[in-house]
Amino acid sequence: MKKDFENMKVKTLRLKDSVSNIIYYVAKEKNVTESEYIRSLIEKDVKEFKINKAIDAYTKREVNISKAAEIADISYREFMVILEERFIPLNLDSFSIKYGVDSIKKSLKK
Amino acid sequence: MNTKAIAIIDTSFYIHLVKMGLIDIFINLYNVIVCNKVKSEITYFKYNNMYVPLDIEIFDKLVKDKRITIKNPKKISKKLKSEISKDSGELYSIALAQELDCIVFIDNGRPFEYCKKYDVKCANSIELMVYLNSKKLLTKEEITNKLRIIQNSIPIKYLEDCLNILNVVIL
Repeated sequence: MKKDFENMKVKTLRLKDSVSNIIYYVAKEKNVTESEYIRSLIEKDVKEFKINKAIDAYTKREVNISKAAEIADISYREFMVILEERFIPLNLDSFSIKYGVDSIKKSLKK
Repeated sequence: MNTKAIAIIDTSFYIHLVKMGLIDIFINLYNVIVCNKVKSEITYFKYNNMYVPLDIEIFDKLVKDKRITIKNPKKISKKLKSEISKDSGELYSIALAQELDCIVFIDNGRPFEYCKKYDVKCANSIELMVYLNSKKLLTKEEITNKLRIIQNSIPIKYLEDCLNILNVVIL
């Protein structure tokens, strides 16, 4: 545990009384410290931010799946699952079906 | 040494192939080669240690049984590097396909432009099914069922074009 803290920086933040109270109760309910709970909220949001950035770049065709997964800081297959869950299709529409089928035929020609 | 044609495959294509239960038929058609980068994309998994996706298990077995060979391209052209995301599986796969003058299977449209421009044989899993249907190796009903599995990953226009070619309707 001590080792984890070594890689962390201290940030101070101000919260409304009402939010601060909720954090206290939720952390108690989840059996974690308030710091741990706030940290998990931030980490979750940062992860979502990175995923959205990656999806945006992918749908704009600026990057391929490999690069998008790198931006999102997740694995290739995780990124494919996320696209599927969010009903975002792969960039297949530029594919020419005829070109693909002809390529297969040529490749299998003896 | 068998006389089957060589095919290079990318991560997205492999994952779809296993998902749709087409890996055996594919391995019977081609001598399959995978680049190291694609191998690491396929096998890299960090959800948890309790569950390993089926396609990883299948991949490991196919490599062990020498039904999939791991190989890297000797060099990557500047043109390719400038058009495809660096250090991606697609980059290495296309470079190897050019080097070996064989087909590359990728289930992602972006590198297609490059392949068409430089006359690299290139296809995806759906086009493979269209071909298999033309050779009567896959029925329209089988294709319909398989397409349902990856339906969310296929753009509607592209799916419609495929279904028109096959004369198939998915409700």
